[in-house]
Amino acid sequence: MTRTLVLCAALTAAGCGSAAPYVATPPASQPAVPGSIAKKVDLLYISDGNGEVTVYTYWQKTLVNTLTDFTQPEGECVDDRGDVFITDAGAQRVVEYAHAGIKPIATLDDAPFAPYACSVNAASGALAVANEAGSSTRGNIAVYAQASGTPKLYTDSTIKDFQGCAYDGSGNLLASNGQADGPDSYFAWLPKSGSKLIDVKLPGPQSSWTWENVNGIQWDGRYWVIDYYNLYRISVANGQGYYVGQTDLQDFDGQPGPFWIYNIHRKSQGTQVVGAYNEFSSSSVVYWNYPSGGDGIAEISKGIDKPVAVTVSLGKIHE
Amino acid sequence: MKLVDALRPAPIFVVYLIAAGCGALQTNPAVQTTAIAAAKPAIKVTNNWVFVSDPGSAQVFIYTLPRLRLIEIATGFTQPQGECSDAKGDVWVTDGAAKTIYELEHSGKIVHQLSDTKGAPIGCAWDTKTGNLAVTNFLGTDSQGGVVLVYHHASGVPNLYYNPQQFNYEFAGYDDTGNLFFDGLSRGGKFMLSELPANSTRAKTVKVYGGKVSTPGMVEWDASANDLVVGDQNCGQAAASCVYRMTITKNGATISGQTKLDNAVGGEVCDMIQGVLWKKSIVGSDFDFCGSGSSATYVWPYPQGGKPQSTNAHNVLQPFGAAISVGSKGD
Repeated sequence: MTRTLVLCAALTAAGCGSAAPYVATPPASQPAVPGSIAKKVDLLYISDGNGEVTVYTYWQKTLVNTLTDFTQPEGECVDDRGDVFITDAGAQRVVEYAHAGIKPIATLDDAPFAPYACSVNAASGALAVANEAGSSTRGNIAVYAQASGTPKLYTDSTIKDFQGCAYDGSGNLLASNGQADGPDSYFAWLPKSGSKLIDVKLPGPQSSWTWENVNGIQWDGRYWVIDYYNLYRISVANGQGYYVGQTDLQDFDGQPGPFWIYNIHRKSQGTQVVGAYNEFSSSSVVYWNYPSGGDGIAEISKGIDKPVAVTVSLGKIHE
Repeated sequence: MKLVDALRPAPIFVVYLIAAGCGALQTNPAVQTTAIAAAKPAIKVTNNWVFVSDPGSAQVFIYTLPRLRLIEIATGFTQPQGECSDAKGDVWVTDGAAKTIYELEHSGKIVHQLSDTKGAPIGCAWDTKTGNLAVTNFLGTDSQGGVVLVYHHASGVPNLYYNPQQFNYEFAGYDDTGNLFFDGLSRGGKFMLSELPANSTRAKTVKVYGGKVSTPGMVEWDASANDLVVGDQNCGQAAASCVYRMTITKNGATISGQTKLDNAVGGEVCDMIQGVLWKKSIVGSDFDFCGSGSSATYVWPYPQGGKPQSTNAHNVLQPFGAAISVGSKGD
C-alpha cells in the first residue's frame, strides 16, 4: 500500500487565480469565503451519498468547497494538524486533505478492503481504518503507523466486517461492525499496547440492552460515544465496558447520524454534536448541544445530499 | 454450577487405602495430608482454592493451590469482576453488569447476593475487624463518578463514602485496624490511592511517593510485612503488570519494593488486573492481549516474583479478579 504525496495541490490552487490557495471557488449561490479565512476557521466536512464531500465553515455554515473524485465517500476523521481523512469504500482507498485543501495531499491504497470509517490516534499519529471485506473475504481494522505505509491488519473472530472505530485520548481503540452483517452490532477493543482485538460487551441504559444498527463510534474527550439513534456514553477499563449516560437528540423522527463530537480541547469533553439526518424526501446536517442534547440548535440543508458521515477540522489546534 | 467430574477430588476412603498400603505415596502432598489427618483427627485439613473471575466467559473458575488444578466452574454471572474473601472462606464476586455482589461458598455455590443500586461494582474488601463488606463502584449512575459502599455485616442497605478528588473507584483492601484503602482514577484519568480511615465518614487522598503508578490494580494489606500491596496494570506505562509494596505513614504511601511478574514463556505479564496474596505467593491471571499467547492463571513467589511456580492456561478468556477460599476437607 502506498501513500502518494500530491505536491501539486498548492501550485494548482495558486495557479488558477480563481481562489486563494487550498480553497475552491464556492458555487455562485454561496457567498465566497476568502481562503485566508477558511484556513483559520473550523470547517465541517460532509460525505454525501452523491459521491461528493461538501465543506462548510462550521460556525457560519457557509459552503466553501466541494471535493469530488470519490467513488463512495464514507467515513471521515481528522488528525491534530487538521488534516482530513476520507474513506472511499468504492475506490478502496483513504484520501487525505489538508485543512481547507482542495486537492489530496496523500492517498492510502486500502485494497482489497472497503474502508468505511477511520480515526486518528492523537498519541501516536496512527490512522485506524474500519474495513469491510470489500473484494476480500473478511474485513479488519487496518492501522497505518503515522498514517502512511503498509498497515497492520487486525481481524476479529466475531466481527466479519467493520464499519466504525474511534481512538480515545490514550491510544485505545474501540471498533464495531456497525450495521454490517445483520442488525446486531458488536464491539471489539484494541488496547494501546495490544496485539489483537478483544471482543467487549458494552452495557446500555437497561440491563437487557442489545445494540443494533449502530451508526458509528466517537470519542468525546472523556468517553466513547455510541451512535445509535441517540448517543450513549461508555467507558472501557480493564477490558470491560461501563455505561455512563446518554444524550437524547430531539426533533427528528427518522434515522439520525452518524455524528461527530465537536471538541476544541481534546483533553476535555466536547461541547456540541453535529450529525447527518436523512429522510426520504430531504436530508440535512443538524447541530445539538453536547452532552445536554435536546432540540437541535442549527441546521444545514442546502447542498446536502444523503449525508453519510461528518467531521470537523479545527482551524486552530487547542491543547 | 457446573461440576468438572473428571477433576473431582478422589474420595477420601480411596486415599486412606492408598496411604496405608504404599509408603512411597507419602510424597504426594494430598495423600500425606490425608494420612496425617487420619492419624491425628484433631488437626483440621484445609483446601486452599483460588476463585478466578472471567467476564469474558461470565464464569468463575475454581482452582486448587498451589497447583492450579481446575476443581469447579461457577456460573450464573453476567460480568464477574473483582473479588474478595470473608472470614468464613466464602468468596464475594462483584458483577458490574448485574449490579450485584454474589457470595459464593467454598464449593462455588452462590449462597447470597447483595444488590447495588448506586452503579457498577468492580471491587470489594472484607473487614476482618468488623465483618463489614466494602464494595467499590467504578462509575455511578447518570454520568456520576464512583463510590465506596460499606455493607454492615455484609447485608442491608450500604453506607456510601466518597473521596471528592477521585472519580473512578476500582480495587480495595482493609488493613488490620479497619482502615480501607482503594485505588482508582481522578476525573482527569490519573492514578489515585485513597483511604477511608476506620470510623471515618470521609475518604481522603493518599499521596504516593517513590514512584508512579499508571493503571490501578489490586489493593491488599500484607499483614506479615505490614505494608500495602498495590498493583499496576501498566508498570512504567508499559504493557506489563507488576505490584508495588507501599509503606503507609500519616503522610502518605511510600513505594518500598516492586515485584515483576513473568508469564509462562518468560515474557512480562501483559495485564494482571486483580491478583491476591496467598502465603508466600501471589496468585493472579494474565489477561494476555499483548502477545500471541493465551490468557492464563499463575502462582508466583512473593515478593520475589519472576517466573511462575504454577500455570494454568486452559480455561480463562479474559481473567479479571482472584480471591482465596480456605475450606475444610470435604467442604
